[in-house]
Amino acid sequence: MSEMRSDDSSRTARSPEAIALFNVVFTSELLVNACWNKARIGSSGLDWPAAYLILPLTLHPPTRESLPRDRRITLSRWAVRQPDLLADMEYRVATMVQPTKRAIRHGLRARRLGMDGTSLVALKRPKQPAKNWPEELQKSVRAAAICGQWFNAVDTHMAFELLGIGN
Amino acid sequence: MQLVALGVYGKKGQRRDVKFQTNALNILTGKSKTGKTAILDIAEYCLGRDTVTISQGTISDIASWYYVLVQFSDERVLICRPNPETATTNRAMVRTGGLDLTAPDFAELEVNADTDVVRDTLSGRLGIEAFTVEADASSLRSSFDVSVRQALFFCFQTQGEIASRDILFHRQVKDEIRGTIRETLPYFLGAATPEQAAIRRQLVTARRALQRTLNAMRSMEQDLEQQDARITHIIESATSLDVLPGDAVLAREGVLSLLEEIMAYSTASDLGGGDETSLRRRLLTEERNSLRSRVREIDDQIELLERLGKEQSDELGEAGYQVQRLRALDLLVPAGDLTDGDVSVCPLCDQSLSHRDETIDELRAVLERLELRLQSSTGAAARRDASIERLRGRRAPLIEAIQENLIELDALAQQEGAIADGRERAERIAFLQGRVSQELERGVDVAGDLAELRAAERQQRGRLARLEELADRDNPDALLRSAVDAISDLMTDYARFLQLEGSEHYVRLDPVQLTVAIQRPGGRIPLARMGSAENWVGYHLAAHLALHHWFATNDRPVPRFLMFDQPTQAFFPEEIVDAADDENADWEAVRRQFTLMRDVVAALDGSLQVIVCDHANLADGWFQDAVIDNWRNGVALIPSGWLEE
Repeated sequence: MSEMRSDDSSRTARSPEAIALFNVVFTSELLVNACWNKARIGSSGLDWPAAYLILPLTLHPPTRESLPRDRRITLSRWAVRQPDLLADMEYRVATMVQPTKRAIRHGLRARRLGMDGTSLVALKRPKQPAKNWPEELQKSVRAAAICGQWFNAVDTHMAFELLGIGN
Repeated sequence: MQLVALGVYGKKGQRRDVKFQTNALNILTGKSKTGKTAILDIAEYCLGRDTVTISQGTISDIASWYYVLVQFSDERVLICRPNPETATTNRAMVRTGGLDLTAPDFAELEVNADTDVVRDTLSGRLGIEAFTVEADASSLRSSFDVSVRQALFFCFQTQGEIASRDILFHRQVKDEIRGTIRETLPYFLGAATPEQAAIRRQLVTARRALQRTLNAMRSMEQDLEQQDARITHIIESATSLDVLPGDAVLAREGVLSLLEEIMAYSTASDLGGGDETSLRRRLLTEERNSLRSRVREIDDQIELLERLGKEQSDELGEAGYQVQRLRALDLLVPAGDLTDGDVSVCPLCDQSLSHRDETIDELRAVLERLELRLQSSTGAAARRDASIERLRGRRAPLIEAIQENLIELDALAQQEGAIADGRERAERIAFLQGRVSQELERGVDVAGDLAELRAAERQQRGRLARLEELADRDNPDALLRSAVDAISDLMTDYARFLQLEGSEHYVRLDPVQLTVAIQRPGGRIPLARMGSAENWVGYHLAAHLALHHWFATNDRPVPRFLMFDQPTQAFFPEEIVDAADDENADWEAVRRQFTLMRDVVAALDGSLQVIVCDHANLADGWFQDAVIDNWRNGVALIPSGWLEE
């Protein structure tokens, strides 16, 4: 919430580090990857509220490192194994609300994302990670793809429940 | 020594003499209370007794001096004693002279001696040798020299003594006198001579010396046994300390030289250098502290630089993240794709945003700034790394110096350890030398001393054997027994002559109990167990006449006189005034007593004088010849005229 207040109060209050780390090109691309992979496995886009979980899961390095590569590990199984990471998940989600909103707005404006009812959908296939990409970019994109796939197996409200948000 | 005369001086100078015949029986007959008894007391007092026993009364009131004149073979000794005012005195006047010496005039009387002089004068002339009677170890009495004082115990028999069944000798009633008589009787009998006493003293001394030598030998032998172990230990310690060579052999003849070698060993060269080492150690320690201080300083600088580097690295890492994420601009977005479009309007709801989103251009500007910063940081980091490298380069020689310093300190410590070891060794050697010194003081060559002691022991045993032989040859016990036997034979004869009870048996003098005993088949009957005063007096006479017979015939140094006071008392009623008037008395028994005295005096042919003070006055011619004075009809020791004056 503090992020929202600072964002509301002054443009210049947003720090250059925050601008760089959560730049809208980068964050909207992560949402694109999540939506694309959600829709690729399932039939629909990413549920609107679920979009607010993507950046907290993919941008926090320890959380990102703990994400499974094995598709058979579901969100619920991962959540049970990572009680430490879930301890401050609610705080991270709250912090990332504004960057998520900016990412969605940039994705819509650049026509990389679209709305299908209350779901976000990727309008174009995202680029696959390449060798010349920075490591951070590669890891984050892959993580976003995993997260997108996860939301085919779990309802959004259950995902919030498992991650301890809104309790 | 016999009495020539005795007498009393009156206070006005008058003199009363009682004259005696030497070598004869002297009978002083008379009534009671005429002063007969005083004759004994005056004689004893004048012959050196300190205590006056003359009864208080007429005589002591009137007398101013008493005297006695005694005669030896060729000279006379006059002894005068002032009438003392108290019970004891030792004042005397002694005068010696030829056989014509007589009692002096009153005016000539003056004290010129004491009783010691009297006793010495008489003892010397009697021939009493210098003979000390050693007191028994168990006795409280002290040793004393034999003198006429002891000899006179055999010369007097007072009225109470002669009729006593409990005592035989004069003044024996006192324990001290009894002991003195018992100890001196062997001497006066000739059984104990000064030579024997000297031999006994030498025997005692020799036995003590032998015992001392034996004790010393035993102690030295024990010490020798222990000394072997001690010296072996000392030599072992000395070899282990390198004071002596390892092959120092312990042989008795070489012990002394080995010990002296240990004593001569000097440890001075082992010591020293301590101050120099200490100074060097201090310098090295200071140097090491300085080096460590410099290394710490460099380490601090390196640590500071590295911390700064790490902080910058963290910052650069963060910037790296930011750059990597901003790379998405180039990699994901086609150029110009996002330059248009109003970033201040929400594309979802077409509402104006209170704060517009960043444009791609802005994001690119951020990326450029970050890249510039990263580049400049890389240069600073390189410079910092170079600084750190330089510091490390300076640190290495310091570390090396510290290592060298440590090596040197270690060497120094080893050197100090060696010095400390040397000091400890020196202390141990000093301790060892102390023990050696102690051993040398004890005497290492005790074998030689022991040989000397053994030689001394042999010598002492030889001397002891000779002394024992001498003592055995002149056995005082055998001599005493022999003398007592001879006296007892005479006593038996005299007792039979006097027709005393039990005289049919052997009558024996007991020199220990100081009494007379009859040896009869049923047992021994001492005087105290005999009945009747007649027997008591009779055995007293027999014993003393026999003793003096022995003294005279064996030339013993005892005065040749015997004084009896009232020997016939047993034959008269108790309250007698003049026995001569008593017709009921056993005159035959009385006659036997005097006859015996006469016969003994005659038998000794001038070697004995018997003085008897008695009531009896026999009519026999020989008796009357022996009467020197008859104190009857107003005649007494103190003339009646003195009383009237």
